[in-house]
Amino acid sequence: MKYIIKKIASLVITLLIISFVTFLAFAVIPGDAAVSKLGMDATPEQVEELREEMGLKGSVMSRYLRWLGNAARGNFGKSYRYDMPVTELISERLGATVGLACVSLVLILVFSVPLSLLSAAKPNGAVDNVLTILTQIGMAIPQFFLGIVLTLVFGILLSWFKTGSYVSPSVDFGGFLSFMILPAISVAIPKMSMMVKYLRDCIVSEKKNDYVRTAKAKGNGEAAILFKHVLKNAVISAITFFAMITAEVLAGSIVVEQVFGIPGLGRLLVNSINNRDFPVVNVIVLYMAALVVIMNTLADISYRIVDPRVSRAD
Amino acid sequence: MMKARSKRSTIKYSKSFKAGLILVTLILLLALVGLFWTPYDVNEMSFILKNKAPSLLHPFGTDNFGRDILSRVMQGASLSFLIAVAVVGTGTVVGTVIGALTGYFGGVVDAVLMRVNDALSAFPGVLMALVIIAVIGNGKYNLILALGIVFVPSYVRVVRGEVLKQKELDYVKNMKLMGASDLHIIFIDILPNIKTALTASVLIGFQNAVLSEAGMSYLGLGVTPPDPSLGRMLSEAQSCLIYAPWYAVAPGLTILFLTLGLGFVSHGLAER
Repeated sequence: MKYIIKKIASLVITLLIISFVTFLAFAVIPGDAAVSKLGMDATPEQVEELREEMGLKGSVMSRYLRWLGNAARGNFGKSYRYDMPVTELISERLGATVGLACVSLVLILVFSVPLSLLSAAKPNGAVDNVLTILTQIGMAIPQFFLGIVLTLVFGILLSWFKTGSYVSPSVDFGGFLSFMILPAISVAIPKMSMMVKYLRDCIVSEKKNDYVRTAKAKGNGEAAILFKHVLKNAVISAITFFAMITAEVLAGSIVVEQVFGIPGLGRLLVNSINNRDFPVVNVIVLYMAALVVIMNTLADISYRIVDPRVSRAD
Repeated sequence: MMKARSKRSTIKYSKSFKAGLILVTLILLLALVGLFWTPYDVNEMSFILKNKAPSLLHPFGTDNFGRDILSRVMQGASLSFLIAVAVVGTGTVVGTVIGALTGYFGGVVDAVLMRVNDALSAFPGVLMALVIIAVIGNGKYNLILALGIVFVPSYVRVVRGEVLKQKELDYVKNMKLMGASDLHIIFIDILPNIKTALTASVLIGFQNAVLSEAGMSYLGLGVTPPDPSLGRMLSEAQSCLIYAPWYAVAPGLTILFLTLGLGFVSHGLAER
């Protein structure tokens, strides 16, 4: 319990540091947002007024504290470009990104566990070699190229899946899945390959341990040893890895959303960078950073619950 | 029985290593030639030659401005390669210096830096590169800077870990007794011994650098025109996928062969 409180405290501190660093980074960018919004013809009074309104006055520290105070009350500022609250902009697009991430994560979990078992069953056997080559290809292919190839083959040539416009899952769940499947595969394949390689190596090295030989000597079957002992230990090391994969899935969706024209956070982020709409960039980055940090904290905590050795160590 | 298996595996991994080497050499040659000579001028536009399918004159076809795709891929590959070298170089040099010094001396600086390093490594690289590009703007030199910064933490971790292991070994203690200075021990005695670990991360880093550069350029946040870039070519190819599907083939496969080759080489080395 004490451990969990310590972890949450360190999570909050990390988030505060990240928020300050990103705020600082966007505060030191040359150029005056108020001037660029009003144009060169604006009178100094107008500029001053707008600067006041946009929260651009005062030292960086006082601006950060004011921003933090507002953020604590749920007010993350206004977009320069769309003239609407950042939170509103983000919540409109959150669904698509979360949907994509969920479908991708399901694909990764469903396929990587059986594939790694298959691969580890006979190290350096024919199946293992084929899967090793496939995972190498999966890790090497750029996600956007994969997306383009999938669109070309399954969307245009075979027209198995819809490639048109995004459908919200609450409107038409079938249509949502049919639209999401190709993007999700593009996000999932590289990460799935990493996961398969990692799990395979874990299982293979676990199998070399003495306890496996002892279990065999006691007359346990191969499958029983695998499921009772080896997998249990492999899963423990896979948890941390899965947290990392989740962060990577989120990052991967930034590019893949662009490929498939999905109206999600990643697309908003890239557009906002191009439009120099920094309040939006700042909040999206913070949002994604928060997700990553929270996932890592959860991984650390569950690691401890699953593996009692870790908590006894300190 | 064990012997037979390990013998078979060395053969297999050297195969992976060879296949990787062939792929990387192939693309390297293409890039190297592209640095000095291309069949056509990379920026020569022609309205008549717009979106032509592959032919003898243009083996990979022409793009939406009538430019020769092969020529652009050759120069794009050399730019990708140069950027990757610069990025991995920055990451390795800066990361090695920081990692070696903090690992060797330890103390408060080491503890603080490692916390920062862990926080940075947990962060997806693309996201961090995007933030840096948002602050400093795009273009190839800014991209090198952004990706270089993103790559530093992983090298710090690798080098620090290795230095921590090495510093407990007898030869380091001997050197200390003989009165060698700390800097001499770190950079002359220890560093050559962590070559293997460093080579592995340089190869993986190279693969990541090529992928990141292509991704950022695809998003329009990396290499800017008129420089040809494989990532940007793919984003243009995507907009004319229906009537000129060949456009995507050459730049896509060039990236894939390069990254796959690097993957095979490092796989072959790692499991040798």
